[in-house]
Amino acid sequence: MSDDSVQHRSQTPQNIRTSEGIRGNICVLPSVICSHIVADRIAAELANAVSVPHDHGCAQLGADNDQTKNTLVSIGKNPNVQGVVVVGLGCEEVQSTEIAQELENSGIPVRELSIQGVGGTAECITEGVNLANELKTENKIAHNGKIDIGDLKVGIISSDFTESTLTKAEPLVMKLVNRVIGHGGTILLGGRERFVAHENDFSDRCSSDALPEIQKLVDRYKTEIPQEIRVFREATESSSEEIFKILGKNKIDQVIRYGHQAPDQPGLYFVDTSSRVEEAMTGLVSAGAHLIIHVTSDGIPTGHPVVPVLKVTGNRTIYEAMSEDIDVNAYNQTPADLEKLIHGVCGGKLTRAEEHGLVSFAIERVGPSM
Amino acid sequence: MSINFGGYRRPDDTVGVRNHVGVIPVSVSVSSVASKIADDAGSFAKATPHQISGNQPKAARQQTERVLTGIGKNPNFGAVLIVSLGTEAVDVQKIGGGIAQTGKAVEIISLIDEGGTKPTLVRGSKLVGELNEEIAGLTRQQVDIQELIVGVECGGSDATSGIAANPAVGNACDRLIESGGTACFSETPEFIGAEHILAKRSVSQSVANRILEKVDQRERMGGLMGVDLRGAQPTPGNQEGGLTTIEEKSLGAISKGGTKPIEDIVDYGEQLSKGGGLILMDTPGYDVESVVAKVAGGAQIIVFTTGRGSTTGNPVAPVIKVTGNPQTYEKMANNMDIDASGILKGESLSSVGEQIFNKIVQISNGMPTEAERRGLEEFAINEIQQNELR
Amino acid sequence: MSFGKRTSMSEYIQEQIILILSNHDNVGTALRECKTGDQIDQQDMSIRVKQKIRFAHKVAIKDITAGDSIIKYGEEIGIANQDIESGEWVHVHNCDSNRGRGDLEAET
Repeated sequence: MSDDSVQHRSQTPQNIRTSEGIRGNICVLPSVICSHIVADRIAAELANAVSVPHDHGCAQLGADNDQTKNTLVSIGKNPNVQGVVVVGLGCEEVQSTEIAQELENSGIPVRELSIQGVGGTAECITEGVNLANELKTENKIAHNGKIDIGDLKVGIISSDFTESTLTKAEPLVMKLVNRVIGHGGTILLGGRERFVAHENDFSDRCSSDALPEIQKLVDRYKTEIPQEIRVFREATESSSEEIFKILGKNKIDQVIRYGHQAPDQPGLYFVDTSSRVEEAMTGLVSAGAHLIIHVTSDGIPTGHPVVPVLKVTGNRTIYEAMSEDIDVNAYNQTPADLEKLIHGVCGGKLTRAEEHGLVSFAIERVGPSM
Repeated sequence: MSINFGGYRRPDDTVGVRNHVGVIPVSVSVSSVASKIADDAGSFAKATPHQISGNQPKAARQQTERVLTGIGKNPNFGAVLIVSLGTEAVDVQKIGGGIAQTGKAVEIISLIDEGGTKPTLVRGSKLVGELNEEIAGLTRQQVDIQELIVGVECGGSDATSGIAANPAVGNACDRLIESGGTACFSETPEFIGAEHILAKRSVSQSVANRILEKVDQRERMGGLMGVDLRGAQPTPGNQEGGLTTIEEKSLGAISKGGTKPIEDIVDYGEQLSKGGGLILMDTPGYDVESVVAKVAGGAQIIVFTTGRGSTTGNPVAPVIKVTGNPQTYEKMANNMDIDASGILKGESLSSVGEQIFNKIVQISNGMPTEAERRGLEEFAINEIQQNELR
Repeated sequence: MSFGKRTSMSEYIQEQIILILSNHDNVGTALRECKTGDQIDQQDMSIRVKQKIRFAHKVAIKDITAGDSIIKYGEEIGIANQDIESGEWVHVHNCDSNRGRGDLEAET
């Protein structure tokens, strides 16, 4: 059970976050499923707060428990997050106090409280709002929104590898990948099925540092990913030229484990996520993405609470059916259109997902619930 | 003398203690859409959001389909709206058909067919309103308590759980079963150390064998994650609090089910039978997933013991919170329904058990629980992980 | 010191200090901390406490021989690894699990 909330001390924060964000919100972060409704209600009472509700934090063992905890800490460190209020229940395994301590150690403005510590859900909501208002956060929108693409960490996830995705949408995104890297920015690419399905064909697409890491994860996952699931089948049925086209002229510099931050150096990083988009987005945000490009031929509309998500599709039927949910269509729009939109989004323009406001926050599991 | 309560008689002869419209998302991709439809509609609409992908491998998908169907069939839902993306591998028609077998009205809506988020919210809202109109006029009828299936859970346990709240709830379960009702408890990891006792109380060798098999499976799952579940219990914290052996801890946990013979053990989310006596369900110990499993099995009410003060509820079934810790009851009075701490001062098990039993009847009649008053409706479905399938 | 409220020299009202969950039990659970020397007389048992017993910890309510079952909830919760006198604290030092650490007997 927690008593005192973690106080923000006025000292120079450690230089963990050197980049600024393109959105500026307080993140109300439940450490466990049991406190997510309280977290949602605290965020709803504040003008500039988002909640990151999830289904975990309890009854997880070993590496599975650690992954949830690491992910939550990394989310708190994302450049779009200006401050954090951690909300726990009190008896859970992923303790709110530990998460708050790690964030404080990294210089993030943070407060912490728990339902059992305060004594009730209604009381916790009131206290949580008070603590959020105590957080002295600066408006740290980078360059007042005028960003060079070389300043950005762009997350990319494709939730399928259908023909329209591989022949239309990803080639368009590839042009952006080249531009971002060429200007000194960072690309965070998720979705391990790409590699697992083409285990003999990626040695020339990775740096000598990254290659053994990718090889290791392929060896691990090739026995775990069921052959029958759609996205894996699609990856297997594609050619390696198609599947790696999105990398453009670049090689993967380094592999980032799920729930961990990418270093602050420019480059092309592979973030070890599945292609389940809700979980993958969280992995990319943990790695430090400012925004995410989601390639979808299904039109999955959900955004993410912490970062703007841009929906790109090459599927004409989907675009015509659901145009209000899609930002860029790849069959008659261009890479320049995508890049222009990104500039707009950095300056405050809302993505389609931000317009309807429906978001998902899920964390990838590596083990069963106990 | 029979005990009655006022419930909603459904076309398939089951009885609900609530009369909600369920809004059930088929996959994580449309969970937020389902939640928004329900939130905008009003308190009669209850969403069951979850984080399961629409494209699981078949072996894992079967459990999800069974649970979604069971949730829709629960008699506390008078009507159901199913929300899908449109491209999931989950068999939406099969789920809809399964729910419709109960005779209740079922609508299915797909994001792709509607043309995206906004049109789905608009049409979803209209459908939910229409479904509610169909059922809002239903009135409660007097029915016998044997129509009740009560799920029992423990979470946030402390030193008082095994000596006060759990045995008291067990006494209430005995009363329910004696009156012809069904009681179900689960959380298989908490059987470890007492599984031989559960086996001994089983009505048949085959039930006994299945119990031992399920316990063995859960232990092996722990082994997958490098944890010796048996050797790790009781924890240092438990031992500080007075628990000496795993047998003692598990006996304290299973005492919440009472003393009756064990009729059966069913799988996660599998249907529980009316008038079925005491039935076990194989679930993780993880509270929210474990409660959802029993509700998917047909439990209309959940009784949940907690020493430290778990505050979770459920959108489908009222969750009655029972604590044996007087400090917890005082500090968190607005989240607790029953104070069982009288046992620590000498009040008899029977007296507290009777209070709990009476509370079950009151809640069945329509009195809201504290969790319902506060709109606390947590929901999560257990996902069979890839490493379990190997 | 003995427990119970004396209302007058001739009356003695017992409070329940030790909770006994089943008639077959040879241990009870302390509902409040008990000190060495406390004489506890209840309708269901009578003991003289030999050591400090913390809240929710167990005390032997009968003499127990090494090798005997420790019984709570009417079932065996462990085995005594030494002789235990009535009134002694029962915990990990003198009560061993019979079903822990994988060396359990398969029983149906």
